[in-house]
Amino acid sequence: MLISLLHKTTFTYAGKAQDSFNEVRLRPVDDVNQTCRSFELKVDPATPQREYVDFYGNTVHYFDIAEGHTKLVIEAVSEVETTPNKVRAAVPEVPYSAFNAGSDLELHAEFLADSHYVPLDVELWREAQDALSPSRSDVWSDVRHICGHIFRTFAYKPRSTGVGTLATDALKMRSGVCQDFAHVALGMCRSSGLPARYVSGYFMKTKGKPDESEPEASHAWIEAFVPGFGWAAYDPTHDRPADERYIKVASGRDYGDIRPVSGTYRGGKTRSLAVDVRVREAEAARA
Amino acid sequence: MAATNRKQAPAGPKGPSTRPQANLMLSRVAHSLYWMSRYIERAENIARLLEVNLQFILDFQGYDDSHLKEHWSSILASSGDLELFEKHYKTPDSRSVTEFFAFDLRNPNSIMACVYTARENARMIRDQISIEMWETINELYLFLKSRSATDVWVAGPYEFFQDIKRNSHLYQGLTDSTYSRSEGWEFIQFGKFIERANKTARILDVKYHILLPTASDVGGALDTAQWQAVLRSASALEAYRRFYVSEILPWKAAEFLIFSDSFPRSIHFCVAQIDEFLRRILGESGARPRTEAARASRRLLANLQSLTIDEVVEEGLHEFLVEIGVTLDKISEELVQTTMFYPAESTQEEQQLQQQQ
Repeated sequence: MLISLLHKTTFTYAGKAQDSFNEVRLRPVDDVNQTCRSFELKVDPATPQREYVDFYGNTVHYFDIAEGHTKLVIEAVSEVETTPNKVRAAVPEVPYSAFNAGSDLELHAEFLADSHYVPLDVELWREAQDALSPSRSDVWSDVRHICGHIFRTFAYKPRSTGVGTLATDALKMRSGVCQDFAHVALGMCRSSGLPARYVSGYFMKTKGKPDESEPEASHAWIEAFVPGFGWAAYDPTHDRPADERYIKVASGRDYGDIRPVSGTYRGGKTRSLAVDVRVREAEAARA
Repeated sequence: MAATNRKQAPAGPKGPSTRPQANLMLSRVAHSLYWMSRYIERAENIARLLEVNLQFILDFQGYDDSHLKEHWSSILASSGDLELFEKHYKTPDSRSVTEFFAFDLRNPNSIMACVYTARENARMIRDQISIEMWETINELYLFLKSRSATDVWVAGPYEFFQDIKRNSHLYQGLTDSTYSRSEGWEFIQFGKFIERANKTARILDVKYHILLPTASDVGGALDTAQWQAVLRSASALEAYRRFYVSEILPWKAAEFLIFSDSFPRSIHFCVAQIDEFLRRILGESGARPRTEAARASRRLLANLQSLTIDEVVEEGLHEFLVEIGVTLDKISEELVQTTMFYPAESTQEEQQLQQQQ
């Protein structure tokens, strides 16, 4: 499936901003499930960009703007071809004991440990115990049970949480958006000894015509490590494995590692932040 | 960013620096050089003021407690620290004032606090100054840290103040012989002369305004001895004697400390240096200055070049000295704002993050 993407971020400042240093993680990854056909990053005020690959394999573009400006627009346009569902390999049933045989747990230790957004508090472990009772089965089923549990017992409520909400806070409220769902799922997986990582990307709505007035945003889900298979993606917000409608942009321990746009600047406070995301099937976009 | 083109306000210098790239200096470095230099000079001048006054009191054994109190109170008042002093000490006497001016860190202008601040500034720019300069400042700091007011009192304050002056002079000599004549040099010299001009004006003001003798005392033994002390506190006694061979006359002493164009601690000499370094820092090349600071310094210099001591006394010496202090503060404040200061609204902000939904 060929999908075209637009992700436009507009910062408006109260007064002049200067010495602005920014990093963006907006380029879709290339892996077995998708190929990034084209990617273009536009920044206004115009400035040279450079890029590097971070520890988690994400492409990071960075740029700085020394001159004073009152508005900063970062626009990423890309086209991604995703592998059709029918050619994707099924995730095998692997017992948890498979972890003991190899060194997978040690190799992925950072995806089992605490991270800023996912403190491994006992509540998350308890929640995972509830989700996995009465007994644990294979690794992938455990992940599905955990995500299904969140899907059933949490309310999807925009604006009930913010960008800084931790997994433990979202668990107390039992509500949030995809970012919180993913963080809670990570906490529950990790407490149960399953290496899991945060995935940032986009999700294309296929049901009904896309509503131009409804704001779209970037999406988030998780990937869990299945011994002998690799990383397998699951979306707790929709309670289903990520398929050809999902475009992966970056992965890391939690939101902090994959912040789509981050940076610092000198000057006045930010007056507004507007995010415009368009995810369309490429043919439809051309028509 | 170059220190010379930091400011964007209309009064500031415009356009890129004409200096070669290698000489560009961070405004942070300029700031540290300036304050390092100013605080060392300030520490030295406080040492001078205290030393002279302690000796002066020795000369007048007839002083009783109330005289002493009045004497020290006026010195505290002249430095603007009387209120702070009264908050922490009961009566101003030789010992408590020495402690307050030399060691008390609660007094931001004590010798200890000045040396501490100078050292902190030097530490931030250790890669910019010679190792000898740094070591001198550091040794002065360690020397002060190892002494207490009681030690000083027992061993004799004279030696103590001599040590501080010697260290300050060593630092100045080393700066002179090891620091490149670059933009940084201009900031060091500017800081030094601003502080020195300020302190000379203040020392004069203490004598003239606060220790004002009664009409019958003018020209008497006490008055002459006081003026001699004032000259000594500026290391100016010998220089004065070479200039005016006769006895020490009040107006001559004041004239010498204000108007001498060759004595390096006179206000005129300091302001001439300030004007020169300000001109270089701000890139003022024309006959008519473009910036407020350069205009103020040119005006002050013109006054010091053209006025006579009689005119000044007629208008009021105290008012004249206060006016000089105000002008110097204005000049230094504007230079700091123009070339060294990072505006307060420029604190670093995090770019707002977007939630994934």
